[in-house]
Amino acid sequence: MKLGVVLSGGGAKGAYEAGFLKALSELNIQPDAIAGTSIGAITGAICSANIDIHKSADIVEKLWLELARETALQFDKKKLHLNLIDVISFFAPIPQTNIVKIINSLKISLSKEGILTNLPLINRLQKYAPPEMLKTGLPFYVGYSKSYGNFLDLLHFLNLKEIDAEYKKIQDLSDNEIHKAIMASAALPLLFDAIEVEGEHKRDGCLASQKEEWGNTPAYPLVKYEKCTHLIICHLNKGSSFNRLNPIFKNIPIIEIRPNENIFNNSLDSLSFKIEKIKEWMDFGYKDSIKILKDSIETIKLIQKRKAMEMLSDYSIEKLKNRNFKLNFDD
Amino acid sequence: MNDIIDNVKRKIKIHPEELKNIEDLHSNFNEKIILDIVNGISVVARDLNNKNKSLKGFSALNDKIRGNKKQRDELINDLFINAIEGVSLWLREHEKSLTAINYKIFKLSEELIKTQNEIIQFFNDYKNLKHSFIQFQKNIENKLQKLEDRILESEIKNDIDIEIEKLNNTGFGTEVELFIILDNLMSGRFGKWLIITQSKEKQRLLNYFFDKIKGKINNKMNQLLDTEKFYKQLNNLPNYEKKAINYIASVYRQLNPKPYYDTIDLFLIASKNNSEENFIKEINKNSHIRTFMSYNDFIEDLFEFFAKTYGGNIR
Repeated sequence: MKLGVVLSGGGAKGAYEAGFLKALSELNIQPDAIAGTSIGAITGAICSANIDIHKSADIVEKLWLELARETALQFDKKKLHLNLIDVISFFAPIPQTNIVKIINSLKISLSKEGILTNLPLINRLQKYAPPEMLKTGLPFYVGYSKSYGNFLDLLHFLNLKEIDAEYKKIQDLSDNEIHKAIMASAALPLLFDAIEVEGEHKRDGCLASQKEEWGNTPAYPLVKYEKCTHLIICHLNKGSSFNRLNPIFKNIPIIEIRPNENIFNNSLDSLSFKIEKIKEWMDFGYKDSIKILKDSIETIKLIQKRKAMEMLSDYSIEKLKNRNFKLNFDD
Repeated sequence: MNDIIDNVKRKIKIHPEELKNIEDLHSNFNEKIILDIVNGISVVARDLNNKNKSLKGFSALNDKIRGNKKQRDELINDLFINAIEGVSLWLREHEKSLTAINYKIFKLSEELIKTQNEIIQFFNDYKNLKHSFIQFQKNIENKLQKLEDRILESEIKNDIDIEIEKLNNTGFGTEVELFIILDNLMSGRFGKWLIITQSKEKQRLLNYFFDKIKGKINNKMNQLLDTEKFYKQLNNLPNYEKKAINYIASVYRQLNPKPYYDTIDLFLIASKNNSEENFIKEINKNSHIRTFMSYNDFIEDLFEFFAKTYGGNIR
């Protein structure tokens, strides 16, 4: 058995995944490979680097409490200032030719920069999942998409235009590209810069989720390349269109953890890094995961037990037959 | 997730080929189907349905226009169809499993009943065999006992023959010879045999003994014992012989003091008195000693005395 764990993207809702990992740790479910997108890629990086699920669960919980106490989303003042000048000059009463206006619009739409800094997350990655640990950690894949500039990336984000998801195995990258790929997986258009990985700018994997959430829920590489035999997937979006019945998962038993109906009812939850919300979501993540995992595992264990008992009874009957008991079950 | 089955495989320590045969007997009803039923419906389909219900107003319209709702509805339908197929497979598997279990129980019960009958039969045979063996053992023991008895009887007859041969051959006189013969025989195998043996065999040997005596002194059997002659013959014996007879007679008398026996008292009185006069006086004093006693009476009285003394009963 080779167990792959998939961590979906969802911004601040990623605290739910801290609870999910705590549940895995409590049930002693050790993954053999990880895949993640966006915030799931950050969490996945910690799991991959630290290997042991108990240690990873503790660190991820700590990380979320740190992010909640500090300001996780910080504006990049320099870029904010330049953008502000562009906007002001666009609407300024000073005469501008139409060509200047068009050039200005094109400049904004083709830009691959965002207004927030990803420094807080980069610092955490450096602390809890440095490249040298990731290199020797659990096999780890991130989901991202090619960046076509803010305008088109936004259309992809709003699911108005289709784009293919891309996956990258972190262990295949050079040391200085590793964190870039993870951060690229979390680079939402307008908010964060698109990041260049292996010579091409990449954006958040969630941009490529028009079709069955392939980008935001990167289960594909774990099955296709890592040959995982079992998957546990933690979703952060309610009503995720991830399709477990897709033929690629034909022989793969999958347990999906999906947030219950009482959380993530606000569309801005992804940006809400407030301490009370983080704690609440971690708790929901833990409770949902424990219940779902226990239900699934208990059922499988019951069936296994039955099969095991049948094998035992067959074995005993074989022994009886070998002692000249005339038992014939073939007729 | 296969830890239970792996544990069982380790526990039963079976040859891999045999294990594979056993595993092949069970259909490969896998975890995928179970999880698609349990997790696919109660988690995934429920989540998709909740999402559909939660969208209202513009969001619902936008969702519908972009085809997301249709996509979720189709996914819910697919999940249900898949789960129902899985459940039907699961049920079929259960039915097969239950049928197989019941059939095994039926076969095992039949075999148990058969085995129980065989055990009962075996036990009865064993009991009969044991009984026969005990009977055989008893028969053998009886035969051996009879053989031993016959050998002993033969040996005793030999003893009797040897002792009776002494009659009229020692010069001690018939009475003393009879006393010595009886002392020897009754203190030996003959005496012991008389005590333990049943009457049929006892009578046969007693008859043999008396017949032997009669064969030797038949002419005297009805004659009356001459006490004076008896005294003289006894006193003609060397003194140590006389003392020995007195000693033996005294010991016997102490062992068997009552009732009075003519013969043993006659030996006691005769062996202790040195004069015939005193002997006659003492005889007269002991009125129980018969003055008219045939040799037949003498032999019977003396024999009975010895027999009683050794704890036997000749009658």
